[in-house]
Amino acid sequence: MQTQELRQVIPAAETNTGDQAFLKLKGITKRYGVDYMAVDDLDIDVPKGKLLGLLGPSGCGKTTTLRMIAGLLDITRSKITIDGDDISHKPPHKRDIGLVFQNYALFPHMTVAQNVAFGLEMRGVGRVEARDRVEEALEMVRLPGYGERKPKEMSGGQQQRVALARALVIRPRLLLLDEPLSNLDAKLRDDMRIEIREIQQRLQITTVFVTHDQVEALTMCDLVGVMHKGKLAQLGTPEDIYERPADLFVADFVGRTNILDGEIEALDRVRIGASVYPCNTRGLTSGKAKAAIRPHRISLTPSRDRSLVSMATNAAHGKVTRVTYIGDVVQYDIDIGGNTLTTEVHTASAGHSFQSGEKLLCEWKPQDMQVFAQGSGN
Amino acid sequence: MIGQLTLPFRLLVACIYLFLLAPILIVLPLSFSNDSYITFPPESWGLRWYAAMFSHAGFAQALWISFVIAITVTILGLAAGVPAAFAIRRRQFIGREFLLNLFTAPLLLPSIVLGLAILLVFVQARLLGTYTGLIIAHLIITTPYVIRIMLTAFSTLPPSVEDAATMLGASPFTVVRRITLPLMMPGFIASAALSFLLSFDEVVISLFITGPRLRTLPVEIFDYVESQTDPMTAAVSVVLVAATLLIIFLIERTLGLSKTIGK
Ligand SMILES: Nc1ncnc2c1ncn2[C@@H]1O[C@H](COP(=O)(O)OP(=O)(O)OP(=O)(O)O)[C@@H](O)[C@H]1O
Ligand SMILES: [Mg+2]
Repeated sequence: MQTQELRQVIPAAETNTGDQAFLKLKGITKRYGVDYMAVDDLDIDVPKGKLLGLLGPSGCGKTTTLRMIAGLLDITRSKITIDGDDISHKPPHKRDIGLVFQNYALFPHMTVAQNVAFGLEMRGVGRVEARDRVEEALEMVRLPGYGERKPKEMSGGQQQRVALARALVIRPRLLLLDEPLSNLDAKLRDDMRIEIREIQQRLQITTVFVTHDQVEALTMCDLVGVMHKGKLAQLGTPEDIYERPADLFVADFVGRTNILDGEIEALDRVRIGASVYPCNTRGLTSGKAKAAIRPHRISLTPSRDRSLVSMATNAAHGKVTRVTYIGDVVQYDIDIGGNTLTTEVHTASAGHSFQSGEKLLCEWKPQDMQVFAQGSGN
Repeated sequence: MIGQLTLPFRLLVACIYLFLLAPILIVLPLSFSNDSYITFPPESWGLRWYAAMFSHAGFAQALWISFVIAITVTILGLAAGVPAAFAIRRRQFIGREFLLNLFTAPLLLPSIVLGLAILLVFVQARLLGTYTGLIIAHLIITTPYVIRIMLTAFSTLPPSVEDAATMLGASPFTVVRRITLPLMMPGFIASAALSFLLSFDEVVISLFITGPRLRTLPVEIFDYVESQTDPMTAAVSVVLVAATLLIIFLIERTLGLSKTIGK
């Protein structure tokens, strides 16, 4: 029943056209001054109804990219098409794109209902229809009856939802979200993450979501584009990004990772300190390298003879140097002869807990050890 | 907050208020004097000088002249200052900093210096003793204030609300009309009120350029005090203070003064 009504607010886009690109960014570039490339030659296709996350550290050009798609910033060079319609040179108010700002940007001199109705008014929607659509949009973001309030009489999370309702009520072709959750506390952020994803999927609205929070990117998005210094470092599914990072930067930025210095001995063989480990060198056969291993992919057992461990598994003897309790996991820093490995053990599954100074054996699978050429992705 | 202030601090605050209000505390009783010359405290009481003031042709005419000039200056000052502030805040162009400093320099110059400079130029331009001359001179004083206040108003505009309106389909003109102007209304009212009061009150520069047939109220009062020593000027002052308070009261009522002057 509820869902039925909500469908009317923004009718699901016509049948999904599969994986064909709906939003196409071609060679998106923004140069500041003579040679500062804030965004450098970005190519991204987003299929209809999908949620793309743009992930990257502060200053990497995420907001700049979003503002270029919105038309609020002139593009230095490039082409943007939505559903085959070239919008590169359309003024922003004619692009029919919904944008939710990081600081919400609600109109302080208007009530919540007037805020949400603004876009409808600009489109010449009649008063009666507008009133119904505003009420439905507020219901969709679970704020029914809040219409007469002023924005400043609402909490951050509520304002954020008003901003979302205001952007969605105009039934835009594309929704852009610029770090919409970064001003919220941790608990609210978790709730809003689920809520936004649910609304996005229900409405099948193609969305670009900017964030510097990798958990948001991995949990909410169909596709993740990792940006680094204005360039696209990798574009893929969350699993691609996490399990098969394209370069050292992605491996390091997404999720926690141990990075060890080493040297590639042969294909899928890396020497770290005195030991040689089977690993994934991704085709490289020689040269200085960095090996990346996720902390939770390393399992810990009390020290025992190496010969008892399957040859298919990498193993290293080590000594616990630090124990850090983080709630759902315990973090052990382990010295394996010159290098320190950070490992994580879930507290629930921890059959054994280790003490600082204790000797133990670290084991990990060769495919969990990704090796990158030194200097890749910098 | 007030309850936590220490006694010496409260005494200090009381002294400062007393100092600021002292002129009014003396002028108010003085205006109800019926004496023929200024003595304090007055020997006889009455409304004689209020009556005299309203039948004094010089004051009545000067009041009207001052009013016309202040209104004109307020309108022209906003018309010049608001776009200037907008350009300085929103547009990137060469010489922006320089213009900002140039526009606000009169704030720093002593009025006597400004008055002398204006006098020298106006003699050449034959603007002495004319409405045009007075209005231009007052604009030189009030416009920097308008620019300053409007610059503040522009920078306190919440970030991205204009972009948000644009993305919802508002054309640039609609954005200004529906978002920018309403949010800057306190700034407009503050600059208008301040321009009006500054022009209405201005005496130093006006002294240089008023002529025998065109005298503003402050100049008229100034001359009157020089030649006469009766309490009529006290009555005039009280009327002026009352009018000023009325304006401030109206602004406070409609908008909240703290909001327009800034916190
Ligand atoms: N108007 C400008 N002039 C010059 N450089 C700019 C301008 N605006 C942004 N930049 C630069 O462009 C780069 C990208 O900025 P952008 O705002 O897109 O970063 P971001 O990825 O959104 O970062 P954050 O996560 O901090 O919001 C930054 O290094 C910034 O300093
Ligand atoms: Mg940003």
